[in-house]
Amino acid sequence: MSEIRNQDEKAVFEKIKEDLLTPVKTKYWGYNALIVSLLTLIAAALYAYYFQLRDGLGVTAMTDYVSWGIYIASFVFFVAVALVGMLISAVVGLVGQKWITPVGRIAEMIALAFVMMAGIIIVIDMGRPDRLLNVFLHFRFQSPIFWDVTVVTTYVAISTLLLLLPMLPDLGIMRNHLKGEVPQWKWMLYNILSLGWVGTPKQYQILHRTLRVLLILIIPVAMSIHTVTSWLSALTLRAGWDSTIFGPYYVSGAFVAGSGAVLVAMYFIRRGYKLQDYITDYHFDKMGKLMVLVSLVYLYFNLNEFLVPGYKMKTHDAIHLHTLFNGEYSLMFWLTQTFGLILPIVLGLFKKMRKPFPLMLIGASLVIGAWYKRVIIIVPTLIHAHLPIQNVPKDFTEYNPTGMEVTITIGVIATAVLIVAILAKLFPVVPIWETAHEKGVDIEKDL
Amino acid sequence: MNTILKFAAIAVFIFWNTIGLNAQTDWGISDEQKAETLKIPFDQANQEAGEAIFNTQCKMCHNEMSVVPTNTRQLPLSPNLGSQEIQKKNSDGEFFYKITLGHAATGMPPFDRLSEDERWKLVAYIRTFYPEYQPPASISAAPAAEKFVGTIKGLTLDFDTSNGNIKVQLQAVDEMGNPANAKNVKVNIYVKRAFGDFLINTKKTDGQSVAVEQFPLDLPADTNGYVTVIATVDGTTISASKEVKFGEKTHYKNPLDEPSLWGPRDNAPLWLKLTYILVVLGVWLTIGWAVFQIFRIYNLRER
Amino acid sequence: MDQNNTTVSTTRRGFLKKFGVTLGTLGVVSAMGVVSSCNTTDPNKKFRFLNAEGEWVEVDVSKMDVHLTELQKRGREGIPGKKFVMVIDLAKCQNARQCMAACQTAHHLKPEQHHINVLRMENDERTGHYFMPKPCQHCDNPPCTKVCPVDATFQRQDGIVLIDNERCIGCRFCIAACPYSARIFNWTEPKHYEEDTDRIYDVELNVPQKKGTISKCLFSADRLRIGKLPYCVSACPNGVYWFGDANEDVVTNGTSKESTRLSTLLEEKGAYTLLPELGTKPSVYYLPPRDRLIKYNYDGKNYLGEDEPDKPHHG
Repeated sequence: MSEIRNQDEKAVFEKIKEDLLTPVKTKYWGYNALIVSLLTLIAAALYAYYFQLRDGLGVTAMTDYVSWGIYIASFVFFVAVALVGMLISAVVGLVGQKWITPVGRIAEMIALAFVMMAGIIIVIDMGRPDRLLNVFLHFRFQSPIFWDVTVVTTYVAISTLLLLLPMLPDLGIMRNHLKGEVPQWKWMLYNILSLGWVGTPKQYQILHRTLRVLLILIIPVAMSIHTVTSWLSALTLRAGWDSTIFGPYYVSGAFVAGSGAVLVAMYFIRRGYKLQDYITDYHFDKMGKLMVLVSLVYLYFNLNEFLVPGYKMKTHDAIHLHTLFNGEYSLMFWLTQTFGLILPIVLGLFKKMRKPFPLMLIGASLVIGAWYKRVIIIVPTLIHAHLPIQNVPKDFTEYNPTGMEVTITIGVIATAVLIVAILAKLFPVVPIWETAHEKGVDIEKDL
Repeated sequence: MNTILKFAAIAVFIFWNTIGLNAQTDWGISDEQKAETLKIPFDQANQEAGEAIFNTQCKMCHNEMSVVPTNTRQLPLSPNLGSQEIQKKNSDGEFFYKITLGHAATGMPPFDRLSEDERWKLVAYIRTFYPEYQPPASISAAPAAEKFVGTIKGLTLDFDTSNGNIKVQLQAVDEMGNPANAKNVKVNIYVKRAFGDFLINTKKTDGQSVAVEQFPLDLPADTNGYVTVIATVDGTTISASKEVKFGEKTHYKNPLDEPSLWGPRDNAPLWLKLTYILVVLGVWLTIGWAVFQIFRIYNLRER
Repeated sequence: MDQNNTTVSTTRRGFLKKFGVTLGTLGVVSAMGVVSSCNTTDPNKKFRFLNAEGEWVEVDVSKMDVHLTELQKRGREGIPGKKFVMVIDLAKCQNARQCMAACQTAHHLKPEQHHINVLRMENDERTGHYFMPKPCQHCDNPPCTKVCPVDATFQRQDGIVLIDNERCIGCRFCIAACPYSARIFNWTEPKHYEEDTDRIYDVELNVPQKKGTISKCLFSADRLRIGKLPYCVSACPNGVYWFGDANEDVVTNGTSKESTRLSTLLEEKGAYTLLPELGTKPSVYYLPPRDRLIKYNYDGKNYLGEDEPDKPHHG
């Protein structure tokens, strides 16, 4: 009896292993094309950045009034998307949801890639990147930027651990089974990263305990990273930023952007790697429901953020709100609110819409909407200063990003996608050991 | 670029000159108005009343008047009305109506909100800077004030720290060179401040060549309680200055001594430093512990 | 298995070690490259700066750091015992813009860069217009220095808020934080940057200006050090500005050089500060534009000579 079961188990495990490791071993034409196009975008961005370094930030459309533009908006966007790692692995995982198994690692990869790019684009936005060290030499406890540097660094560290640690058993499997099947350097990499994982009960025990602690730890850290990011705006005296709910407003918005990004990544990874058996419609359905839930929370904070000042219409709040509701930014505002918030909630309520393809489209709409929403949070507030903008050229009162600026921003986004792509090719996106474990295979024997 | 600059320079030059020309010609004063003469007695009371008005209304632009042959202050500065050229060219009526109507091109405002009497008092005061001035015969000439005719040699400052009195003692000689008492000589008493001397008062000496003035005791002194008092004889370069313990001692508090959110790093409030350090330490110790667990896993690599 | 593992682990260790060393070396080399690229100078080159007496002094490159440190030190300390304040009489301002011109000349600014800006104001549609010169308010609760991550902008003991462009990293958080829009940024190479290369940086004048750093009104801290009134104050032809030390309770008019009691002036003219509801505690006071001698007159051209509508643009 046990013999047969063992044989069954072995077959099941072999199938899982084969299915999930195929993407690691196989060369895809589409994947290479993606990498090449991303590299092209990055090269263009580097070229543009060379000009920015040489000529100064004057190559952008930023001026003394709109002194933060799409760089800072993208920074907020990156941090927002990066928060999804915490949402899926920690919040949803810790409440005991089992369906996150094939999604968690994708979320962590996105989190790591995007939080790294958040750090990069801040440096790109600096007027004097050569003085980056000053931030550490002359830091001030009182500055939110110092807090931001601290939490971004911490989040990178914890995200790396949260990506690496749950991957140890898989890396052990890859070390044991992929020798000769992949190039030697790759095998060496797996060998090093597996950290001598052999899957003893003691190792599992340590792994589980460490993971649990880190998963709890990442919740406050992730909350602080985005709260501090919101404080970069909210701690100033400007109408549109001077808000007490900016922290939760940002965090809830981040979950929306992040679930959108995960949905898009899930769809393409599933299609590209033919993982329909592992990332199933059920998982999409669950992700779709999660997306609706976080969008509803975000809707609630939007209501507070706009209705409360909108009811009172204080002088400068009124100017700001008019710009958004029926002024120069109204088109962008209503498009982002529709496609980044209302539509996903409405569509996500229908079961028919919670299928992979529609969800991918909704996810894309969320991500694009999220980026534009960050522009709307950053730019219109700066256009309306407390005092009149006078004795300066006309273009100081508006902001239309230049080609250079857009190229660089696209390059950084491309880098984030590239990192996700490389991670998702180098490592199995769906955890082998957890999948096997869920299917009742005792994989310890294999190691 | 250079050509443009040159053109601009020429344009500005022409523009300036036009204004200058306008300034001299077009005040819109009729001949009858020009023919008017001083309507009030040219006496000390009116002159001093005029001075008070001048100090609040005109000095801002016209600055101190002084008896000089020609005006050297160029636009946009307003002219020195003590210029003898200006005094000679303008009749009393012209002065009066220039004050009344103003002149938009040079920025001289109309002062029609001053009463007619006040404007004539101004004219009376302005005329004190014109030694050749002959008041019109129609008005009663002022009984000439008893004016000191000798030479002032110097002055000394004395203080009474108990009541804040400043005593200015003039040293003077008469026409024969004998020591004499200088009566009715104007003395300006200042206190030295960062960017200029603050005029406490202008006093006239009594029969003993002495002018006494009360120091405004609510005026802040330096951190040691000292101020520098300066006295000058009006219209001369004779002056004296002296430090004295007067006024309210400044209790200076360096704003950087206190913890603050806006100050340098070392001034960060303790709660902020502590919170930051404790939280960061806690989180990174946990991360360190997790890394240590990795080492433990690594050490268990052999079955 | 055991044997295998040991060999593996040794190579692994070796690899890690090499990897670490390589990474470390790369880091150090690139950091040194960045640092040295900022400091490469010809050893025979002379540098110049204006000393406290207002004279040009030429020094060797070897002495440059000493003088820079000295200028930085005194610039950061400020003048003990002082609390500088400015009083702006709006009733006097006729938009002569001499203050703006003098300021831009002194601080090597481009025409669109303003440390002080004369604004056309309109509080309400029915209340009419007036001109309002707006320098940095040198707040006692400055929102800008609060947010600076590197102490590049700071308040000194005499109340002046300065910017150290040798330290500034160009994050522009202070621009976002300032509700008075008093700060500007050198988006491209600043004016006169070529002539200024041999000049030692004076934090009290913020010259030479540097690309990628902030600049702002300094209350002409370099002039105050030698007992002179700020550039803008001295340049005004219309008696708009009063400037002085609040601890002495006397301010001096830049045009007439007349001195008056600060407390009396503020009391009698009903002085106010800008945006007091924000709690920034400015050191700049405004006297309301009442009993104006000259009517509001604006020809529709802004400081740059461009058409700018008379209607003030509220942000």
